[in-house]
Order: sequence, then C-alpha cells, then structure tokens
Amino acid sequence: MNRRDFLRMAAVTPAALLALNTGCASRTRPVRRVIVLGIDGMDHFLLRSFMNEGVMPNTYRLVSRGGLSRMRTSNPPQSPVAWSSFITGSGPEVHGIFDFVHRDPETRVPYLSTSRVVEPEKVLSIGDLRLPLTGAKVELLRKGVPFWKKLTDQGVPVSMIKLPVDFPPDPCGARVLSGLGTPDLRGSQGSFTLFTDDARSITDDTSGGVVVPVRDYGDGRYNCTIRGPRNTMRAESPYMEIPAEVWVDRVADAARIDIQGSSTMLSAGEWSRWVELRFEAIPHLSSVSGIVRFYVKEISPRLKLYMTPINIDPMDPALPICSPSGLSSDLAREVGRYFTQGFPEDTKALSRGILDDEEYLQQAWIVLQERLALFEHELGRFREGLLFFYFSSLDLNIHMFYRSIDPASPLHDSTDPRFKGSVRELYATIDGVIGRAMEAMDGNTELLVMSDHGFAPFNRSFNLNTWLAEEGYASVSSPQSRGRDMFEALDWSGTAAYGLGLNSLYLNLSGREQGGAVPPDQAPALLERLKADLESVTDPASGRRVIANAYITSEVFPGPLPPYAPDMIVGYDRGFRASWETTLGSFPDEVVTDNLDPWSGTHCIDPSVVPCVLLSSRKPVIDDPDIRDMGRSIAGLFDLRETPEAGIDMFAEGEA
Amino acid sequence: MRHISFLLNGFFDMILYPFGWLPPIWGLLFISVASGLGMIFVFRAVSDQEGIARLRRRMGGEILGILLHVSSPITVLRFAGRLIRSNTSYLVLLLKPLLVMAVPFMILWGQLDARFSSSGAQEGFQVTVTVQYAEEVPPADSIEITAEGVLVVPPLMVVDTLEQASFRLEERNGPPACITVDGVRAGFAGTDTRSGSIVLRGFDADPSPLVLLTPMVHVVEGSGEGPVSGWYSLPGKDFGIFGMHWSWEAVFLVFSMVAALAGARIMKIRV
Repeated sequence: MNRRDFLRMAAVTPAALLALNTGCASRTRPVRRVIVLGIDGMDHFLLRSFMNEGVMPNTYRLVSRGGLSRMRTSNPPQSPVAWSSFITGSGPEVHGIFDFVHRDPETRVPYLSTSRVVEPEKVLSIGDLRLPLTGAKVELLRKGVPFWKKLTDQGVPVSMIKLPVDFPPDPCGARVLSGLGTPDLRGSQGSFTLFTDDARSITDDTSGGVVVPVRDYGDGRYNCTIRGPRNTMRAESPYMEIPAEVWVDRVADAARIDIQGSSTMLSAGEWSRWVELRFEAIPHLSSVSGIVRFYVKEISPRLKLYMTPINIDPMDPALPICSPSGLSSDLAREVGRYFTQGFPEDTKALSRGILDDEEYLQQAWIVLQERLALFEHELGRFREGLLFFYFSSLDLNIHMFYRSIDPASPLHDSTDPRFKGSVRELYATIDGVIGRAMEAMDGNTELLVMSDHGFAPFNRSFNLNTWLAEEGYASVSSPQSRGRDMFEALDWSGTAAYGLGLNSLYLNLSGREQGGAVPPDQAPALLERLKADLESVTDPASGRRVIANAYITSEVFPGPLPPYAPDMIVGYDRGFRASWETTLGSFPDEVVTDNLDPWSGTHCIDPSVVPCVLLSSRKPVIDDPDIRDMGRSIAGLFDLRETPEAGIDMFAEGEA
Repeated sequence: MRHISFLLNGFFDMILYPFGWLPPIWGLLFISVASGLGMIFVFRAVSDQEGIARLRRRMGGEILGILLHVSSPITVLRFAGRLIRSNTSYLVLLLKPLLVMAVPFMILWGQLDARFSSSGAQEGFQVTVTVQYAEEVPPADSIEITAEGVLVVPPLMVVDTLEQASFRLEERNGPPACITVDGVRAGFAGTDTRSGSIVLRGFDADPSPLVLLTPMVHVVEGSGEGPVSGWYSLPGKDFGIFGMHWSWEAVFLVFSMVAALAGARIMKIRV
C-alpha cells in the first residue's frame, strides 16, 4: 500500500464506519423475543410514587436499563377504545370502538360495542324444538387489522394471552386467548347470584347480578336453581336451569352443595374450587358447559351463598374464546381452570354490598393467582417471537379502592383501614411480575410494560342528562319517570342532545335518530354551543371546573364516521365522571352529586388527565409516544422486511 | 365374589403393568385395540359365519332388486319387506355372540371406568367425602376419622335427614391413601402411582352382587356402628387425541371398533 492509498483509506474508513454506525443507529438491533406486559390501568403518578417509595424494585431496575414514558392514550381513555388502538395502531375512526357501549341510532337502544351474537338465519321448528340449520355466530365489532399480522405473515410466532377487545378472537396467525370483552355464559359482562333466605338482602335490583330467595325446609336443606343461558333450541328460548341442593349444618357452620352428582363442602367464609355445570339444551344430545365458584358468606342464622358469574368453561368452551380452538383447554390442563370472563373481578358484587371489601379482595386475589399461573406457564414455554400478556387486576381493583388512597373521596374515612394498603400491594405484585419477566430475558429479548390509561379519583358524579335538561337541550315530559332508565322521561320532539355511555353525547339528529329534532344543517352550530356550555360547567360545591374538554368528534377524528359514533366526547376533569345514571339514560334531580359507590377511581375522563405508561428495556427515542405507536414499535424490534404502517416506531432513530 | 373381584383387578393390573409408566392414554389405547380384536375373535368363534354370509348375499340381492325396479313401487315394496325380514334374521344371528360377550364386556367397562374416568385426588385440592350411615348419624364429635396419606380438613358436617356425614380430604403424601371412619377402613382415590391403576371413588360395606362391575367401589368390612357406604367427589378426566378432548368411553368405542373392523377385514370374518 503506497502513501496515497493509505491516505485515501484513512479518509474513507471513518466515513464508512460513520455510515455503518449511523445505519446501526437508525435501524435498531433486531431481537428474537419481545415480551409485552399489558397492565390495564397502571398509572404514571402512582407508579412513580411507589417506585420512589421502594415498593417496586424490579420496575426501578427496568427503568434504569431502558426508560419510563408517559404515553398518550386514546380519546376517550376507555379500555376497549385504548386496547383497540393498541391492536390496530389507529383511532376509533378506524377501529370503530368509541365507548364501552354504542347505541342503535334508530332505537337509541345501547349495546356492547365490542361484539354481538348473530342468530342463525335458518331454523327448523319441530314442535317445541328449534334446530338451527345454519350456525349462530359471535361477531367481533372491532375493525382494522391487528399489528401482529405483519409478524405472523413473516414467520414470527405470536402469543396474545388474555388479549382485550378480541372476542371472538381475530387471530391472524397468532395464539390468542380472549380477555376483556369476553362475556360470561349468560352473555352478560358478569352476573353473580346470591342464594339467601335473608329477606333484607332480597331486592329487585338486577344490576350486576341477582339475589335469589331460597328457604330452609326445616331439615337444613335449601333447593337452589342455577339459572344458565337461554336455550335457543326451544321455543321462546327459556333459561336452562340446573337444580342444586344445599345442605347446611349450623353447628359445624358448614354447607354441602350437591350439583349434578358432585358434592362440594365449604365452611362459612370459604371459597370453592371451580365447580362444573352442564346445561342441557336437548338432553343427552346438546349441552353447554360452565364453571362457577361458590362462596359461603354466612350460614347462621341465614344462608348467604354467593356464586360467581357462570364462566365459559375453558376445558369445553361454549363460545369461541381462543385460537387455535384447543388453546383454552390446553392451558386449563396445565394450570387448572380459570376465569374466562373479561371482567373477572366482581366489582358489581362489591358495589351492591353482596361482597364486602375483604371478600371482594379474596375473590380478586383468586383471579390474580390464576392469572399469575397462566403467565408463569406462558413464560415457561416462550422461546421465540412475541408474547403479550394482559393483567386486569390493577384496573378493576383500583376502580374499587381508589377511595383508600384518596383522602378527598367521600368514602375514604369509611374504608376499612386493613385494606388501605391494597393498591400498594397490587403494584408490588405487578412489580413481581415484571421481575419474573426480567428473569426470563436474555441478550435477545426486549421487555415492554404498558398500560392503556392512568387513573384519577371519581368523587363527584355529573348527571349529564340532568344538565342537558336544565340547560334546555333536553325536554323532560314526565317528571315522575326521571329516575327510570333509557330516557323514559324524555320528550324526544323537544330534545336536542342526550348522553349515553361513559363519555358519549349524541345529538337527536333528524334523519338519523328516530323522531330526531335537530336538522343536520343546525348540528355544527349546536355542537359549538354545547362545547362552550359544557366546558364552562362548574361544581356548585367547590366551584371547580367539571369538564376539561368537550371534543366534537368530527373535528377530532378525520374522515367519515359511522352513524353509531357519538357527536361529542365529554372529557371530564380530574375528580369528576359521568354518573352511572347518565350511562343508562336517566335524569336524577341534581346535576353534580357525591359518588358514594365503592367504584371510586376512574379513567373515563379527559385523556390528558390519565395518560398511560410505557416501561421498556430499550429507551424510546421520542418523548411523547402514543398508544397507537405500540404495534409498529414492537414489530420494529424484529428484523422484518415489512412492519405495520400505522404509527411511529418509537425505538427507531430515523422515525423520530 | 370378593376373590373373583380380586382376581379380575389383578388380571387388568397385569395387562396394564407395562404401560404404568407411560401416560394413561397408552394403556387405554392398548386395551381398546386388544378388546376390539378380542371381540372379533369371539365373534368368529361363536357366530354362524355361514349364515351371516348367506344373509349378506341375500340382503345384497334385495338391495339390488330395489335399485333395479325403482320404477315399480309394488316390486320395491316387496323387496323392502324382504330386506326388513333379512335384517331381523341378521339381528337374531348376532344375538348369540352378543350374549356371549355381554358379561365380559360389562366387566371390562367397569374396569376401564374405574381406571380411566378420573385422575384421582390432586395435591393441594380438597375432595368432599360423604359417608352414609344405616340408621341415625352419631353426633359429629363422636365420629372418629383417621387418615393415612391424606389430610382430613375440618369441620365434619352432619346431614341428619339423609343420615350422612361429610368432610374433606386433601391429598398430601400421594398414594397409597386410606381413611378410617368409625372403624370402617377404606382406600381413597388412587392407591397406586402407576397410570391405569384403579381410582377408588367410594366404599361399600354391603355391596350388591354386581360388585364385579364396580371396581371403583372399595368393598370394606362393616363395623356395625360405622358407615355402610361412602363416596368421594373426584374430578373427571379426558384425553387429548388429534387436538380434541375425548372421554375414555369415546376413546374405547372408537379404537375398539376400528380394531375390530380392521381385524375382521384381515381375517376375513363376516360381521
């Protein structure tokens, strides 16, 4: 090599190295395995607090290695909306989920936004029998393409366990077990049963479950009827029922539950294992399986026997809860049966006073233990590709126990002091999960821990429909019906707008709503006026602003929107939320009231108040990631020819 | 009867012994295939093979007759009537082998039910035990329960109306396990660690003569004052084959039938 060549090489080499280096920087190092933990409701502020207190050492280690980011959530920041945005990398304008519930514009009847049952088209009737000639099916209402399709198309194995808003599963080549949005066997989001002979417990209230009166025949025997799903193979679809005998020994303070040839004995204060139920649609020919757990709340002086909602049996699922079809039963064989319903923690039973704080936490602990066993199993078999695992416990338990950490909650002082540390304990448990995932990491593994939204107190309830009526946007024709659901009190001809669901406000638009009163050309001006009025509402008790932002949907989401989309999304300020009465279309007397329900934490407010979090073993290169960026960013960690187009790869220099 | 029962259990234990260290499905598959082949052998030995061949030829002709005279309803009806008669004759010919095989089949069914329908008690899980007294149940505090290999979980509850007492057991040390209730000693759940061994689901101090068909019930000596019978609420069991979950009955029926048909074809046995 002569001097000229040496000088040329000396000049070129650093440039080449620089170019190579730049290339490496702009293309992240490909990995073989990515673990994503979906922790519903993990809050940025609480997380930082507990990390600073030393409650979350594993999380602290992860953050030190990679990063902790506040991540923008969906609008509205409701779990079905946010997780749909995660799955599809897009907003409601694409995936079509705007709220937990949507309404049929013509009838204004609400329905679950994420899935629906399509009845068989052809049915052969023979006497009382109704034999379907075409199959009934459950339809996923979420639209858009899951981000992992790009991964499976390119040979990356993908497991999505307890995936929210994916019932029935839209697998796109992945192993999928449905999570949030999966109904119980009756088709509801969870309906408990309390069998009791205590007249004080018996009410007509059916929200979240039913109280079934039973009586002691004088010999310690109670005949209980377990009501299952409707029998669509019979005329008028009667409920399928299973008789159960409950024998009690008040001296031993124990009960024996005899069902379908099997006995389960429990002492007062004990939870049973899973008990299998088989409901026969046509005896010996067609049946559906369910599973329940019993809890003997009290035996003496009165029987109080709680039964969980009837979960779809993962060993023999009556509805499609997984893909491939044997996944749920394979998992059940490995770790035992588990809650399959999307909302496994029975928050309604706590709200109704059927379970007390301690009993609810026991049930929630059972759910969490099952989930941990599933997680451990999945982690043990995870060799390559993407593993997403979802935990619901933080979300549902903080909904119920935010009162324990918020001195401003109307229920703070009455909360049992024994459970005031429950939120901290939950975060510590999640920290253990993060620690286990970190143990499973090797040099080719990345770990991402994400939530879908944060949390805020829910101390004051805003009765949106009452406010609309008081401000002249809605006309109440029947004052005695104000407390009834589904707008029974409304005169639609004089109503311009109504609230339904947790954040949704609809115009009573003529041509869209039946009997609509607002001409379409007046809608834009009306929405502007509503926005201004809503954003100026203050709480008479404190003078605080109730609504941080009222979003006109067509301005927030580009492109044409479906007719079921709300016209406005109400973003409540911290401390406030739509009342339960608003979600069902009734008109209480006062506009703002104290929230006295144990459901004391919320995220169904303005998205800026409840951002989600992202913890990652690799530091993101952008400061304000969005939940819609997750799919592209996860795919970008693998060495793939193609990645999803939606979103920004938060780990790639080039995209920043 | 007890000696016959002991011999039968020992016979099946011996057959399944080589499969004891494999997953239970292998033992069940072996028994199913062997039973299918055994049944077809017995069928050949006791059935009227000539008669069956003759009948089959006749039935074939009758079916052909129906097909050839499809435009003549009277003739079709005549052939159909003959076909029904031939079918009846065929069923009569099957009666003898079926009768010969009925008792062994029932014994086999009982053995398989005892061995493959439940996975027995699992560690950490509680099993509810209910014991039946002939007359009045003694007071709970005077009922003596001891256990080996399992843990008795208090309390003990009494259901006077049914003359029953119930308590729970928790698997701890693995088999063999047994319980003694007021002097009546009975085996509990699996008494053997090998797959395909009998899982006891109860006990009886006064068994019926059909005890040979119920090997899952432990025949015990009554103590006069103690319970006359008892049963354990054990979880069921199924088997994963071809990505589906099969009950032991389904495995047995499908695989024994496939083996029998294959055997009949190979050995040219007319069925």
